Formats: sequence, structure tokens, C-alpha cells
Amino acid sequence: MDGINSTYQKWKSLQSHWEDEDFLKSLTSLMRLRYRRLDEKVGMIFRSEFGKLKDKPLLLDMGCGRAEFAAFMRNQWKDDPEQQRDAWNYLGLEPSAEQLGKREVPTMGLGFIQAMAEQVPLPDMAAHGVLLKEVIDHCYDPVSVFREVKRVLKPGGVLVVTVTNDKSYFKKLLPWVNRANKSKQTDHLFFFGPEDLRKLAEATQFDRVWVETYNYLKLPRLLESALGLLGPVISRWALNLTDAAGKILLPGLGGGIILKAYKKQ
Amino acid sequence: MNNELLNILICPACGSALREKDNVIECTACKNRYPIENGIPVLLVDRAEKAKR
Repeated sequence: MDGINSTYQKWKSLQSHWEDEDFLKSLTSLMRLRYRRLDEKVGMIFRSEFGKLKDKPLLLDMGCGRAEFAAFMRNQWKDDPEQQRDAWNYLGLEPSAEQLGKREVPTMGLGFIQAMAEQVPLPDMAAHGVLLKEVIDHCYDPVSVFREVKRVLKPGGVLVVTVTNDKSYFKKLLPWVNRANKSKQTDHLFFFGPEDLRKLAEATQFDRVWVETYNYLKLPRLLESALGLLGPVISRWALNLTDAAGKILLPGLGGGIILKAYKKQ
Repeated sequence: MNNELLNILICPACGSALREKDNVIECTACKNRYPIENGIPVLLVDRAEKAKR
């Protein structure tokens, strides 16, 4: 267990800046909309997958942070008490006590635990779905994390991963900006392109691996702020339009990657 | 602590069942004791109070 212990200590030493509120304050409205669209995409996938099940599904949100996804889903269900009662058995796992202390919902489903993604305190085949939202590039050993996900998933269970695309067109256009940003992002231990993520899932024996990129609209900060001022409707329209065009013109080069894969039956 | 949650969790050190005892979570096999902080189980081996051998 020493390996895991030291992983926690190493993780803690590098990720403590997450307590920094300045990052959250620095987000423009367009960036916030991007994060929201991410929750929408993930929510749609799990709704579709879990809609096929007879059992109440257990969703493990690994690296749930401040429980943004739980808060998003709760908000989706707030006008429908029946759906809320019958909703998923959500379990949020997060190594940072500080992040959990600032969580956006006090409780949801089974609740929250402080634990490591490399050592999930769940038995084999417990979960119907696992979410790794903007997490895998912060982990010391992504292969171990994927293997741990496979262990806790039921056969046929679904894994959804989202991560920043290191091979986006914007990073290809401005490689020096990307290099400068990377040197500042000490918490990002790995950088993934769509094929890297696909290979990781395939190497860990996941089945029916599907990968897509999105968030093609990326502008200098000043222009992003200006577009954000035009309001959420226009911003969303612009993001959707550029995503649709980007998928055709620049396949695989969007700013974010989303992966869906299944544990073999 | 939520019983439904406790029933599904296992010890991160040895994989055995857990129980709540004296406001901490204790492994039924290796006897590691994990704290509950602000209502949240802290299931980190680093933070466990190890059983005396």
C-alpha cells in the first residue's frame, strides 16, 4: 500500500492550488458556458445509457471536485420530484477535502467519499457507470485508474471521460502559447489527444470505444469576453455552430475530448 | 452515516466490509479505522489509524 500512500502525498503536494479561488474568478462567461455544455453532454450520455436499465443505476463520479456535475443533474431534476426520487444512485469520490468542503450540493444519492481514484473503496462490479470529468490528466497513473474503473464497473457498464485536447487546432496554430501554458499547469501530469485516450481505453480492454472532440470556438481572452457579453443564447449558438463546422472541417481538433467506452460483457 | 453508503463501501487497504464504530469506520478484517470528517468518510489508507499487531 506504500505506493498508493505516496501517490496521495504526491497528489496533495501538486494539486493544492485547486483551493485557489482566483482561477474560478478568472473564468469568462463563455468559459463557464463551455463547462456547462460539458455537463450537458455527459448528462445526456448517462441518461441514455441508464434509461435502458431496470435497476436504479449507480454512477461513480471519480474526482467529483466541488460536485459540479451532481449540482447540474440536481438542477435538471428539480422540477420533477418523482424523477429526483427515482434518480441515479450517485456517489462522488474526491481526494481533496477542500474541494468536497466547497461542494455545490450537500448530498445526492449515496453521497460523497474522500478517496483516491487509484484505490476505489467499492467492490468489483458495483457501478453501472463511471465518470472521469477533467480528471485523468491529473492522475499519476492513468492506466491504473482505467483498470480500477474496469474493476468497479459491471459487465456492460459505461465509462465516460472528458479531458482537454492537447492536439486541438488552436494548440497547433499557437504551439508556443501551448508550451507556455503547459509549463504553468503543474497539476496536469499528462496531456492527451483523441487517439491517446482511445489507445488508453483499448489497452485496458474497454469495448466499443467512441471518441469525439468538441468546443472548436476558441478566441483570445478579450474576444471571448466580448462574445460572452452578447448573452448566453448567442454564445451557445456560436459554440454549437463552430462545433458542427469543426467536426466536418477539422475532425478531432476541438478543444475538448469526450470518450465513451464499455466494460466487456 | 448513511447506512446504504456504508453497506456498499469496502476497506481500501484489504477490500473487506466496513462498519461504523464509535464515530469512525472500522474494517471488519484488518481493523483499520478511517475517520468521518464533516459527515464524509475519509477512505484514504494514509489517513487510517492502523490496528495494533
